[in-house]
Amino acid sequence: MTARALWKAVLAIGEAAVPVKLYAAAVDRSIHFRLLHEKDRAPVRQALVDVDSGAALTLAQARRAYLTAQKDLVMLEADELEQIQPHPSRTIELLQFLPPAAVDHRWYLRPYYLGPDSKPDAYHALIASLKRTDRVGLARWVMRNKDYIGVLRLHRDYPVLFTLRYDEEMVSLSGFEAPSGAALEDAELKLARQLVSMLSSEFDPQAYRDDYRQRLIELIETKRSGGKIRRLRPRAKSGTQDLRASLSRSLKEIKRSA
Amino acid sequence: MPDTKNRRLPRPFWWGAIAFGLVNIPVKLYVANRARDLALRLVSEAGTPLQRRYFCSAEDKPIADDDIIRGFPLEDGTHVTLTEDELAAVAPEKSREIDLKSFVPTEQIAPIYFDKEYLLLPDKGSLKAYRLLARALHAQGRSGIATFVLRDKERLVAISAHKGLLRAETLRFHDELRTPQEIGLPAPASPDAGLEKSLRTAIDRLSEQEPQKKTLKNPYRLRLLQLVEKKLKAGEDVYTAPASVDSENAEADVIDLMQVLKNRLGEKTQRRASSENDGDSGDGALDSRSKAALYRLAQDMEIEGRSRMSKRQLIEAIDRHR
Repeated sequence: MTARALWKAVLAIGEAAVPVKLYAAAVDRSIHFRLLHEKDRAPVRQALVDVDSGAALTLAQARRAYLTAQKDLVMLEADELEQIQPHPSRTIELLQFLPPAAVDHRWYLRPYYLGPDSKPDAYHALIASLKRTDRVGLARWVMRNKDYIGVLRLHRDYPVLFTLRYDEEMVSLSGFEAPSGAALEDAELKLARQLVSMLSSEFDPQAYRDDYRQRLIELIETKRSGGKIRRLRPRAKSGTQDLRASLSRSLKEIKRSA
Repeated sequence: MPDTKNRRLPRPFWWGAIAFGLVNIPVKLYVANRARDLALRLVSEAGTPLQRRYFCSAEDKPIADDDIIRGFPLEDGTHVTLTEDELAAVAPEKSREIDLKSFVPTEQIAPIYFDKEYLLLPDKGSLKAYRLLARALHAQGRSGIATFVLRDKERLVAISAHKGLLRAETLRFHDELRTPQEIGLPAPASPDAGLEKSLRTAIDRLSEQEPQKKTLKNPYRLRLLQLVEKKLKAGEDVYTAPASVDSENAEADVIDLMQVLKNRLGEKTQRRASSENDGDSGDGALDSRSKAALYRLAQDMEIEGRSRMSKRQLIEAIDRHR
């Protein structure tokens, strides 16, 4: 079965144009709960409350304001906000092509697969040229009334457009000094490195599964049919004091079970 | 720089311990990025701030957070309700522990797997073990992989070292990613040589080494700030915010992670940092704390029924919880 495209657009790379369709690459498989009022089991809803008068308002009745650092509230009218909305467009403009490491993955937000639209030849040529140049594209576009920036790159030979966080959202650690303290002992460092080495493996994403989801479904089923459910309040383990002894014992245990 | 005096330090999103072999390293986990939304406030016609509150749909009255439980909807419109303690029993071994089972070369993790970024900071005297793990990971360019439960969901996580800090990045599970085949993308085809050449030429022309900083800024935010600036200058629609306006989320005092980092990581300052507003469960005597501080601590620990507890009961519950 083919999935439905979220959006149609044209990649503009200089003079060249590549029509594409966007498909969400990530799916949400988590179990969602409803929030209920404990007393009467009625679902809760969110409402806006005037802090001073206690009156409840709807979103349509609310106005928007910007709060400055000096605690000035600047009221913004609906038509003023309308005017600064981005102009709708179907163009994804490629601004720059960069070495893959130039934009760290920490900026990445959500991945979208790109599929061909009206010109499949251009789509296949795009894949080939991204592969040959080994570069990622920095893109800008407007989708559903919002400005986006993104990175265009290949994932296993298919083009993926990742939306990016904006600069203002990133917390920079530059200027931060590494945590300090008494010098670490060589013997302990050596043991710690050995332990990392012994537990080293290749990254195999298929080796990890979400067991929690299934167990949660079973728990819900048990409770629904009136079965007994455990209650627990797990505590965190306290910190290890004798690092050297614990590291040595860890190494021995791994060797024994190997 | 905005003034730092009135800032509230961020709360940990999770707390527990990393298991590195048999070594337990108590840590707290913090969100590493700022909120995406611009700090536009919802206000009434008169400029008084509006707060989002939960209402009971049957009683049409606002209700306290503590009176809310989670329900799984059934087909007949009723719900199976679950308490915190019942949810914790789903996978207790993973609720408060990140057990690093394997260490993989960080560059092997394809970007499509990365989801959210968090920072782990040492808790309660674990600084030495924390630094040791960070050094060992950094030396080998590896990330520790584990699954653990974060807010009712099992997460795959990669823990790596950066500037002496442990960074935790949640990864998407393999089955949370669709494959090109599932979507119905076409099989690779050999490209038209002419088209490929012209695309490569276009790519070469746009090639640079570094992203332009201004491209990475939110253009909507810039337009909004210009609008605000214009109105401020003209003195149009500008009010002094009422005292009740909650400045916690204002852009002027965005979460200051750096402050938490400094508090938690400097060994000398660590004791001082376990102050009340840090929400730290440090080693200070609980009795000497205010009830409000104990309540915040109980909130961080997700202790149920905390809103109905006396100071003495809060102290006992926190003690039990540790």
